[in-house]
Amino acid sequence: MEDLVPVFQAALAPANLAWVTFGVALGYLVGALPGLGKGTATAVAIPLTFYLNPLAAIAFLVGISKGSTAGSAVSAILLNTPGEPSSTPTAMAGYPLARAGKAQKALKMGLFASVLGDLFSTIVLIMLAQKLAEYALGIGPVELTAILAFSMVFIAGLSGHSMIKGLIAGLFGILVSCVGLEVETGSPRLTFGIIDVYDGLPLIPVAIGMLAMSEMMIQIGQRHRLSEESDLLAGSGKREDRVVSASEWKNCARPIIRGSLIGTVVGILPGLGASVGSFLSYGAERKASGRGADFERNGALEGVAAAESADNAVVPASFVPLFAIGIPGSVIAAILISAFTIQGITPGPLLFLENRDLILGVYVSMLAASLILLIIGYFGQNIFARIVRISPALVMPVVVFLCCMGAYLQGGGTFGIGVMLLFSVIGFFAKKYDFSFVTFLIGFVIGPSFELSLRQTLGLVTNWSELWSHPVAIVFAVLAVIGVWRLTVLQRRQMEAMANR
Amino acid sequence: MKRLFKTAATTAAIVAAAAVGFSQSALAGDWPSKPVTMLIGYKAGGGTDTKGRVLAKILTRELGQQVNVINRPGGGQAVALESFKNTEPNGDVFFFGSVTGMTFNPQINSALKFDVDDYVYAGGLTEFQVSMVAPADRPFDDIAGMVKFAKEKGRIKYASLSPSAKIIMQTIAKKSGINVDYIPTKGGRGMIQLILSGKVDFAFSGGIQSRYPGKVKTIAATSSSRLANYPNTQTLIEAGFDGLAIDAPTVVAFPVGIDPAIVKKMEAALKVASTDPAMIKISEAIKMPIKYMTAEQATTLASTSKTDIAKTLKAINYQKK
Repeated sequence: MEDLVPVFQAALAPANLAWVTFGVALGYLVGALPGLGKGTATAVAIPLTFYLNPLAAIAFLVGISKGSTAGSAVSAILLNTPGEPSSTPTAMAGYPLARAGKAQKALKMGLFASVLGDLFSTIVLIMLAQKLAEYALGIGPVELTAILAFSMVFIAGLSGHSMIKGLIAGLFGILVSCVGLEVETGSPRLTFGIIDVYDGLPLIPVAIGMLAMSEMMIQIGQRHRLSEESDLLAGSGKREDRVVSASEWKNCARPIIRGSLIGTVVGILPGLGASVGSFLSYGAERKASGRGADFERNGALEGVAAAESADNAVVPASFVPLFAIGIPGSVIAAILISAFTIQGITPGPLLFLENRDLILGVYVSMLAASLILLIIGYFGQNIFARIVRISPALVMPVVVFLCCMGAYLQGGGTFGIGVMLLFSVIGFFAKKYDFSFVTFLIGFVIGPSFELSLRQTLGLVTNWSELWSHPVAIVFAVLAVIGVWRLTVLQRRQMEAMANR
Repeated sequence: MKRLFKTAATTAAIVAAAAVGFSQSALAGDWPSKPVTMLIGYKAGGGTDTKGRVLAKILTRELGQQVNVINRPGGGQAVALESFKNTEPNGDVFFFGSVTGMTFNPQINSALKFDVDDYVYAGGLTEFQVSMVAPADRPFDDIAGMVKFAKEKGRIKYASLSPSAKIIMQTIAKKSGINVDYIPTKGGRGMIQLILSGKVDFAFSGGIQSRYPGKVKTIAATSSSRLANYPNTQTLIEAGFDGLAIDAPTVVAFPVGIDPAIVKKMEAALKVASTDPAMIKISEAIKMPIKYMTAEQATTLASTSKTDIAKTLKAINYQKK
């Protein structure tokens, strides 16, 4: 136990904590700005960490990723523009709350859920990193295919009133995800000779276009209602709309616990990412609450809690396979590999033997970061919530500008802006005709992984009998089939009920 | 009137020539006289990008002007190279990346409108340790052994992280008469995952195996000469596969039309960078060794690499997409 003292001393030293705080604050700000994400921020910050000592460098970068995942809820709730793709459900459930004058309440819950999910996942990381990583190595393409198929079916079930429309949207998302160079031979698919889409349509401009810009377009079309709405957004002034009440805490306790668990599991499994975590958790809460589409119509604090706890839980959990076997479970973990290697450290099983003190120091710093996140988030929100009091006529052009900036940065320049505009038009019509873009985005995000792991499965499995050695895959495949059957049966019953009226 | 016109035209011509002459000589002598841009064709955070940013810091010191890094990822450097080809050859922008972007990609994708000859090479800095790898527990240590293993088993499972990886194995398979199951992966991470878990027997790697000592063995080098990290590992050419090599050094390039004096200055600065302690530190850290090449060596390599690749593609009847 005594050998832990120097670890704590190093991790809690003012200089180290300063870097953690700087990282969390920077991350929170970057996360709140739509279009800028932890990926870009971390990647750009890595060369700066070259000159720091290893502990401060890693703690700083991890701080950025934590802060950013939490900060993305701010713009999601206030502006219906997710600061990062994983906060899309937060926007769907949180923005209506803001419009009902409950912005501060939603923001607070988002922050608390984020911190709790983050803390939970960090503790899991610390306790189980080594043990769990060995299991994660057994998750191969076969299991991944089944898990992704199940995820897609599950999320298709989220799609509002019409399953058919949801499936159409989902399949359209998969179709759009096929645009680009095919992974094995490099042959261009659906690229129409445009080099900029060789790596596929960039996600951020697509998401920003479909969600935020189309919303802007619709709102601008309803200009005469703007003045009424701006009063709503300013908040009702009643204390109960600004704080989270005890009964609301009770309602949100379960989604937070469930979200933290889902996020942690999703984070450990390589390849899924924070968006899958937040969508799954959101969907589970939506179903469990029984309110369904009402979540998006009137907003739902539980939905915000579910999404934010899950997406923040994914981040520390995705370091499990990274620390233990050197395989990153997420984009952010992959970028972190560079940070480690710059310091001359190889993430992997040897990490715990050779750099034990460093890893323990990182753990302590991560716990400190969770608490610092709470403080920074609490005070940062007041600043951001004030933005909402400004009339939308002033806010919207700024939002549009930020969206364009995000699309420009993440989408490869003016091409990204073009993509964003295209999808804002598509999103506009999708909204008008009630096509779910949750399923579209999920299809778009999961599509490439699903195709790749399916093709890998076909290459790895030479005859059917081999499938029996993949029990996890069989379980998920069966669940997916059951899901489809149940959803279609339900759909048929709905149609029959409507026909009988 | 005619005389006036003639005088005006002559004056204009002289002024124009002087301006061009001035700008050329001003550039050549004083380059760089303002901040320059390093263009990288990959996302921020990758191996090339990490090295590039360290190089940019060193060049800022050596050249006396700020070197800013811009990432234009897409299509394996294709997006960056296509836009870079048409930039003004005045030294404001230079490209840093793997030469395979110019030598290999245009030969498999007919939509790409650039080629090796569209660029002037100022030199090379590092080299991807491109090689064929296998899980440590497989019962073969060289290509001959791998072929034997494949024939005994009937089929061999191969993880293919890029079109070039697949093409290399297709060539080996065709010449040796073995059956291969190609399992596509998304980049080196996916490949190393399959190798570490033992799900595949063989794979192409850009050098990432150095992070997993004892778990992965390097079977052959796919470069034209032996790799710095694996001096005892034979190349595919040495193993009998004539002309089968895809060299992947990282180079600095300018668009065609650049002033040779600028190229010389960059070449010299690269030489200094190759012995700089910061560069050495990071090379050891990410295990991508420094391999300095002069402008001439880089140009020759680019050209011969292109020809070798063309021959290989022909040998497997590759259909250009």
